[in-house]
Amino acid sequence: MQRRTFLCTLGVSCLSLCVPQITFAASKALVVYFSKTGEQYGVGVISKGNTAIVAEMIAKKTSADLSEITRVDDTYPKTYQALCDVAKDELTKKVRPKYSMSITDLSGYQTIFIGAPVWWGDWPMVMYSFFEQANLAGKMLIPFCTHEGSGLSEFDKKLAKACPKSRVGQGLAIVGRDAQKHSAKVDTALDGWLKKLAAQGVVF
Amino acid sequence: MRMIIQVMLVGSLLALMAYARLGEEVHEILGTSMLLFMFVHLWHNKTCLANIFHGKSPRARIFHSICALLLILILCLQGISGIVVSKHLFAFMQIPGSAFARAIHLCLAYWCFVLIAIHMGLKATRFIKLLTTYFRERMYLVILIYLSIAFYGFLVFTRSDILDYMLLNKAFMSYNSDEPMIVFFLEHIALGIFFITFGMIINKMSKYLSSK
Repeated sequence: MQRRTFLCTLGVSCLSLCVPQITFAASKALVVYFSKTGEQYGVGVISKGNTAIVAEMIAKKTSADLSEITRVDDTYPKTYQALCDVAKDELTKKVRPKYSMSITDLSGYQTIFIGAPVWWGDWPMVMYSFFEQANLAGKMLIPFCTHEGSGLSEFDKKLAKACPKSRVGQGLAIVGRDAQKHSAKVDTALDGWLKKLAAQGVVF
Repeated sequence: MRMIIQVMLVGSLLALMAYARLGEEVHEILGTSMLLFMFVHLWHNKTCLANIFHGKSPRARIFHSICALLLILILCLQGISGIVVSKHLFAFMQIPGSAFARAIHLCLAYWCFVLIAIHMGLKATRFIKLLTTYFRERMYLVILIYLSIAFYGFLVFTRSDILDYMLLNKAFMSYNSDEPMIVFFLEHIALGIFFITFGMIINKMSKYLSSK
């Protein structure tokens, strides 16, 4: 009996040496986003931002971690017109506001979904602070945005330019109004997009 | 000199429509230049402008007058709204109200394009006479090519968001950065020719109605 057990153990050990080791890569994904509440275009005064809604949906579908980027000393106005003036001023002066986020150690993430509203056809300037200061080298970055007609606004190209050591995947643009009022439509769009990303070999 | 200014106006207009493709700084320089060209154009036509409500056949010229006055108003508003939304040339002015100015600027941009094309159509009589002189025997071919381009322009208009921008149904411009620039410009030329045709038809109709 002992001999049989020994031989079985020996056999299994030899087999394990012959079979290639299968390791599971760290495929954990992260969803990072910036979003504003208050009065926004086309949706009135909102308590949850358009991008926040989309980010949460992505995190749920991909079982990813979620981290919001907030501006330190957030003095952004709560009214749309005033916010636009501030955003334009930041863009013109290429301001890099200080930011904070709940998850600071990004080393364990292979894929990072990055989302923000389109402000003056570009990422909000606080996102550029994130792009320039966070260690995103070697990661797969997937941009998504919320807008009211401007589409993706080359968020993918701008992200690739800001993070030259990262790979950038296919982005997704969601109409802000749809995020607030037509979640089924957003859900379908997200499913199609995530399916395409998976087919392209993006790991999440 | 007049012809040069007119060509510069049309050239600037086409380049301005490619705002997202040529970049904002180029757009602001072109916009400022176009305003200057407009003032020179008005100066060249100051006599015509002064007699806008006087002179021969004022009824026939009523569309010309409305179109011209609307264009002057719209171009001035474009200049003002452009200064408010400026991120380069006039950014130092920091004028508030950029969100409203941006929406107006986008809406009026397409009204400007349409009205300039109609304005050209209203004034096309001399150009048509020139074409008839040079292509007398092949005029049917010229007309066929022209109408084909105008029809294509109509198709461009129907499948684009231009009407939504003009009616402020869409307040933010989307663009296809993968579309070749040459295709963009050719489509806008065809679109312009479609509205020039409008102007030519209005011109013919107003002359006919005035003769009755």
